[in-house]
Amino acid sequence: MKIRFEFTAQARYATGLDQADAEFALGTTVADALRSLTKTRLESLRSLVFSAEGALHSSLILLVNGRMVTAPNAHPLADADVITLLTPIGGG
Amino acid sequence: MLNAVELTDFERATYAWQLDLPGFGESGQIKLKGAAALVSRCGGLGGPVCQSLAAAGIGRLIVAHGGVLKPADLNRQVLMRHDWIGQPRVECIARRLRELNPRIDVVPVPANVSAENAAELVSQADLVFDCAPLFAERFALNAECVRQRKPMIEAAVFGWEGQVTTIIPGVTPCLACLFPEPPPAWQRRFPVLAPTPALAAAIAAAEGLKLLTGIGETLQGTLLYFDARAMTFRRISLSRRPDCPVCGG
Repeated sequence: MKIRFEFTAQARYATGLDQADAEFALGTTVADALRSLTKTRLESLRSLVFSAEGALHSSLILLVNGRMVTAPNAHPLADADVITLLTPIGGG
Repeated sequence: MLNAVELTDFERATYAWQLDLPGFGESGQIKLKGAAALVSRCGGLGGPVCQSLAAAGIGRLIVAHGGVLKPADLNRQVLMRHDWIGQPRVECIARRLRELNPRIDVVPVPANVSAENAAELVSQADLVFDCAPLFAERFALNAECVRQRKPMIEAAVFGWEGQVTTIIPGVTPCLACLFPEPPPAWQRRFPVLAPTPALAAAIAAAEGLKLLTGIGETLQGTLLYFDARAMTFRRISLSRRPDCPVCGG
């Protein structure tokens, strides 16, 4: 299945991309898709998404098709889903 | 919080264009005159928030910001002046706001919000604006707003992008629901140019004015995300975190 990733703020700057597409097996979870993406293609994104121990940063807001995902480790994806990474930002 | 029961003739003349707004009128203006807002930091984001609130005629504006004006502040902090470099930032903004509207009470606090001063600062306000860059400040302000049940408008920017939401303790997710831990990658300096914080500030100020006057619908439980580079706006429904250590979810 084809999954699209949308990047914002630091994720956009880290990758130099607004978005990226990738293929995954049906039923892949949000967390596993991100793990694969940051391991095989966009390594510059890894520290923004995962801790050194490999856990998803809880300060990252993840959306699937515009809806907030509260359990990314258990959220299965479907073909053509869009994952948006809203990285935490601040005032300035 | 303040005692305001009527408008003077000069105030009626000053605010005539907003008194004409449907549902606003003199009762809305008196609500603003009787309200106190706390703005945490008065940089590129908090400065224009203060400017809008002052122009609209809020009764009291408490502005907390430590440190002095630096050259690197000037690309986005549109109320500052080059010849003020080296002066306490909060005194600069207080001067500017009093020039803009001498009828409001501006209270400059020459310190950033912290766990030590948050309770006292929040207790003086009906409404709080979080425009600070550091998560330690933002978490301290959020915790105190939740404890005192004070609404907080949350605004943030990066590059061409911005995020704004309105936090109502006990009703909406709090800041710790969204960000349970300090983001490890967040850095004090980040890319940004003047229109981005000004745009987020205008949205945040509108949220505050709606809350204070009871007009319209706010971003309660919704994050407004914008990307000014593509000029897109998205509304994202937020969820409370059941195990939130601050608000209890």
